[in-house]
Order: sequence, then C-alpha cells, then structure tokens
Amino acid sequence: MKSSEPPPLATWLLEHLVPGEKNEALTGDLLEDFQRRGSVAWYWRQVFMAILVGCYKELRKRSGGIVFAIVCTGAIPWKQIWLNVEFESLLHLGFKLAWPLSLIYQIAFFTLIDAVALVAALCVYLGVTQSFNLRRFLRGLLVALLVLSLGNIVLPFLWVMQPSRFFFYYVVWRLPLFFGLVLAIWAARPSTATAEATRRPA
Amino acid sequence: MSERTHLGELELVVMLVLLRLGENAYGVPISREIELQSGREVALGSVYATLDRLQEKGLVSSNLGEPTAERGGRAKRYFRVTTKGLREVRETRQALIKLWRGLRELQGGRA
Repeated sequence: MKSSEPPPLATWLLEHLVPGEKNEALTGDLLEDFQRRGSVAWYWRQVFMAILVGCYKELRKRSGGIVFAIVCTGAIPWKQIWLNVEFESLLHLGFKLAWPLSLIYQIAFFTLIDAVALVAALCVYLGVTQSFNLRRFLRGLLVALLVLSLGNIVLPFLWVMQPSRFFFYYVVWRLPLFFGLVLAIWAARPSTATAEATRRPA
Repeated sequence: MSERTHLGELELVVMLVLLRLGENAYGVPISREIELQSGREVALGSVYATLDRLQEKGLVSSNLGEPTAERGGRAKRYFRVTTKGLREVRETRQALIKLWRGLRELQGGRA
C-alpha cells in the first residue's frame, strides 16, 4: 500500500513505546525514508522492529533488576505466611463484611502485604545500587501499587479455578509482587543512558 | 597487550559504512549503504541499536544536527568513527586476512 503520509498511529507508537531518550533521530530517519519509499507496510515493519529491538535492549540493560526481583519474590515464604493462624484470622475478618466490601478488603489486604515486601526489596535494591532518589522512588512505588492492586484483583478469580497448591504458592501468588517489583525498579532507577556522548548543536 | 573490543558482523559492517560515508553518516544513508553494499535490508531500529552499542564501546561518537521540515522537525544524528574505532577496524581486518590466508577452498573459483 502506497501513501504520501505515514500512519500517525505507527509514529505515535514509535515515539512512545521505544524505550530510551534518543528516538528523535530514529523517528526523523523513518519519516525521511518513508517520503522516498511511500510504503505503509514498510513503515509499520520498521516501527515494530524498532519497538522489539528497543525493548530487548532495555531488558538486557536492566537484567540485574529482573534477577533481583526473581530472587526476592522467590525468597519470601508465602506458604508459611498463608498457613499462619494470625494471617488467616486477619484475612477472615474481611469475610464477615458484606459484598463488595469483603472483596475490597481482600484486595487491600493482599496488596498491603505485597507492598510491605516490595518497599523493603526496592529500598535494598536502590541502596545497593546507590541510586536512591525520593521522587523516582515514589514514582516507582505508585506504579507498583497499581500493578499489585490489579494483580490482587485477578488472584481471587484464579483461586476459583482451583490450581494446584504448589503452582499457586510458588508461581501465581508471587506474580503480582514480581511484576510490581520489576516495574518499580524500572521506574525508580532509570537505565544508564547509552548515547550520553551525543552532542547537541550549540 | 592493548584492550580489544571484538566486533560482531553487523558492527563491522556498520563501522565500514560509517568510514565510507564520512561526514554524511546518519540513519538513512547508513541503512541505504548497507543495503547497497551487502544486499541485505537491515531495520533502522537494528542499525541504531548497533550504533548505540558501538558508542558505548567508544568506537563511534555522535552529534545531533539541525531539525528539518522533511523529517517532521526532527534532528539528524550524525555518527563518526573514533580513533579507537579505526584501530579496532584495522585489527579486525588483520585478523580476518590471517584467517582467510591459505584457504584453498576460497581461492579462485566459485563456491
């Protein structure tokens, strides 16, 4: 398909989904080359490749944070916590409430427990990497709380599907914290910029 | 012994294209030249990822040009090979020549 204008959605995706701060030149190059080729399919292909390559590069750069999140979420003894009598009685307090309060209580309860673990892990990570910045820390926390809340909204529905206990304790239960922690680290600690040596015109 | 940064295949291709293009080395001509010389189309995103990697290794430097209208007001990013990069290309060439030398299978006729 030939066109004189590149699809605006593709350009928007390129500008917003390619990680990093140096996308201006890449976007400009694609627009310039599009004028010559005029192929919408080519443009979309280039945009998808740029997003894929950018995400892969970013993941590699932040692999340390991902490994840290795996270790942290794996180290928390959820099974012991879950089987703890006090934990159970606190959880059951919510069951006495009328719906939807009982559901809200349950989501808030698990989000709070995850949030405590997440704040501790995030502080350790930022402390060890010496990259603590209050504003970024709060931004990371906000992102993580959103992810934790969403994850804990989904969890009760998974429980209804009666997954195996092993799968539940060791995989499903840890997912909200894992994704929350990865995103919190992502937001709280920007990756080291790759092309910092790029000079701007005076 | 000097510290070496070994070049991957696409990295070497990009370095050679940068040397070929000289002052006018930015995304579009780089990808066009790769296509022209090697006959393979490489996505601009991959070219930029390679250039960023080379810049991290100190083999390439870059600077932003002025924004132009045909690019929707976006600036070009010009790349050039650094002294370290040039040395690296030379050393890679020497290593490849050594590897090629004396290979009967690659002499004369077709594969």
